[in-house]
Amino acid sequence: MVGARDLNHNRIKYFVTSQSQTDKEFLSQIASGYLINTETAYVKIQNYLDTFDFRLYKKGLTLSKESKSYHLSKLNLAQSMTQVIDRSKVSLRFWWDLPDCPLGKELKSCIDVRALLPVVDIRRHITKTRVLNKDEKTVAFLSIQNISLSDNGKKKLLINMLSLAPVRGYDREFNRIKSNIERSMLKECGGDVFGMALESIGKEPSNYSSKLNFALASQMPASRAFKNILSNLLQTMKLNEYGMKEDIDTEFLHDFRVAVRRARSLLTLIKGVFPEDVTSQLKMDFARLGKMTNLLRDLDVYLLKRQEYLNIIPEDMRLGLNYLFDEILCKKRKEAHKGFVKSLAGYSYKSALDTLDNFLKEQPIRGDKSTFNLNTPIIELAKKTIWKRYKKVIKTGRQIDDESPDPVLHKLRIECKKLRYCLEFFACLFPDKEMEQIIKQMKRLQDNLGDFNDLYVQQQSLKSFIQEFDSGKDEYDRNCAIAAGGLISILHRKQKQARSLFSNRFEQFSINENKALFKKLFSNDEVLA
Amino acid sequence: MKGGVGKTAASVNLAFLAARDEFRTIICDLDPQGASSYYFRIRASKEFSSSKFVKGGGSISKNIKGTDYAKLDLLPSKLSFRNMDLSLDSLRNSKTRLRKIFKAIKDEYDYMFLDCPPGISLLSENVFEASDAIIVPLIPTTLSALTYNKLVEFMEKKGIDLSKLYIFFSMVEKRKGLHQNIIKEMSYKGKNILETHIPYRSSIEKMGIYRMPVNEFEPGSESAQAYTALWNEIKNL
Repeated sequence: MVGARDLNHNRIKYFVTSQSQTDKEFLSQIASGYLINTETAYVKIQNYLDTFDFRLYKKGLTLSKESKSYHLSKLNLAQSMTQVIDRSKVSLRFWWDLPDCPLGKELKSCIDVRALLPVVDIRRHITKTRVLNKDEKTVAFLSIQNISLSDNGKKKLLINMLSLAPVRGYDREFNRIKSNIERSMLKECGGDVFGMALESIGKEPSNYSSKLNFALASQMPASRAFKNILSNLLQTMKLNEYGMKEDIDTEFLHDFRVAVRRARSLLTLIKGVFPEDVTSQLKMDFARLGKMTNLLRDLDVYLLKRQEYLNIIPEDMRLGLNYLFDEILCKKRKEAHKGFVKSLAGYSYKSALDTLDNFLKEQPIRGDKSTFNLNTPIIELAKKTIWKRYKKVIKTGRQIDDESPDPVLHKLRIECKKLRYCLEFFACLFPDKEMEQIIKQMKRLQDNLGDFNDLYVQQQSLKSFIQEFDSGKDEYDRNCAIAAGGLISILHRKQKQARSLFSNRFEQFSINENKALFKKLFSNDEVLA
Repeated sequence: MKGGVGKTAASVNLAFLAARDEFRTIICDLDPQGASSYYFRIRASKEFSSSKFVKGGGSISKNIKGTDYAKLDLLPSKLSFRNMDLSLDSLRNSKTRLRKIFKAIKDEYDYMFLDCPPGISLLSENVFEASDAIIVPLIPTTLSALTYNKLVEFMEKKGIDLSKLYIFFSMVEKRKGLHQNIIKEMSYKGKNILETHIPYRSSIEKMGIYRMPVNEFEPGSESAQAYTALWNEIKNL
């Protein structure tokens, strides 16, 4: 279990070689002037895992399962974090399937709630050779790897690779062997075997992202920009369908919902781009899609909070809480998922996606008196809308003091969401650095408002669960109600804490410096001196 | 303290076992005779010297060599290390210098084993000051009890925390009644005496022929098992 820097290893060199070059003569030639000692060859099978959206690979990491252990490696470096695991006891799907260990911690920070899925199986036939000096001290390692892809039991050669690894303090020897290899005309390659395997099976990690990803140009007509944005959102919705159906992890549904909400917001926040009848049809469709997911998402959020809840209530109440989770919420969720899968197969889901799909294909968009922004340059609409939403946020927030009732904060939360969506839609039209700064500031405020709201909603739902119990019926229900009651009071206290932080967070967001930045980027008024 | 009591053999085997447990480990060969460097077939570069050593910093890092074993590095010794006391003495804070010297590489390793030359010197004072544990092999003879007392006296005089001093019996011959008696006697009054005894065995001498740790060439031997037991004690200190 070692993760820290290992200076020796970030200089390993990889070369493409051909099978015939694995013979001893070739190796002696490369290592001329040294002795060589070839060890017995061995086979290593690696089952590579990653999340649906390749969170590990995108961070330069690969996770593989070998006979009894899991290895998390940094790409291109022979540096890895190894965890030996009894595979009969642990099947790694989520980070929390691992016992408390460094690998678990690392995975938690990289993949969060996403599930690990098998991506590709690789078979390496490895022959290691030590390069020795006259004292018979190892001064470098050469290894030949015949790497193949195991595709449904069929072996397919991926690459034959020669690698040269240095030993600390023997740079001269390393460099000499390296130039010998280069002289023998072998081509250097990156050593990113996982990446090569992905390419060979036709997978491109960047295609599996729920992040907004489209190109806009300042002067693009609004209708075209809208189409680009909606196409991307539609693609995200479709991409997550499989994972939602198969119930792989909770992020599929979450990403789907965000895409739907974004699509709906776009049409609500900026008017006059598409014909009125189309807009209202799509808005209705998106509202329906959103509603379809509500119950399941609520239950997901609860189940994800299980550990957190267990940690904050007294120990003797945990039994009741576990009962609440196992017997009530899990069952409810199972039902909810079943219902949701049914609705995914139903007419209204299909027709909603088809309507959008067909509309996006329509060329050109027909204009009528309702499409007054059809050809407005998108930059104008973006600036106008963001500036308007910003002013609304400031105005709403200013009205809130420490005594204000909860619904006002709820209103501000919604206003912030609208502003945040607009900022994200049009971020690519403005300077990266400044947008990053603005979004970071927004996030701080939104996190506070989000906490406040979540804590409120959680209390309300717990109350409604208690109502469902027949408290006189049996001990389980009673324990459950007690646990829920205890939890409610803790959540209430936390909600109060979040509330007390609000004025400070809002103040930080509304400072003049931020205002000047918003004004500079989005306002058409002259910047005040 | 004395020569030929099994200091180097212990350093080499314990460091090897630490690295095998996946700890990032380094042996610093401070003995000008360079026995541990020899066991790992490592020679220091021509430019390395005790005056470079005491300067610390980049020159230390540059001279570290990887051994043939994963996670185990070695800082080789140089004949010029026999001038170590002179080199140290020429500096300010000459008694706490070693800690400073190792500061540059401290974070790279989980365990550092300092293999010391025999005798009590300015260098040993530095080593005692810089270490988390001072592990001293003793051959169970009447003289070694004397050596131990002298060591304690020295440490007390220099104000070094005695609780980090550990001893273990080395080159123990089971059949020698004298060995057994002295072990009994010393265990009786001594503190911090490790339970494992390293037996007197030829496999330890064979290290010089194979130029490898015992646990590499004769892993099943009594000596190898004793070092493993000793390492298990030390890592749990």
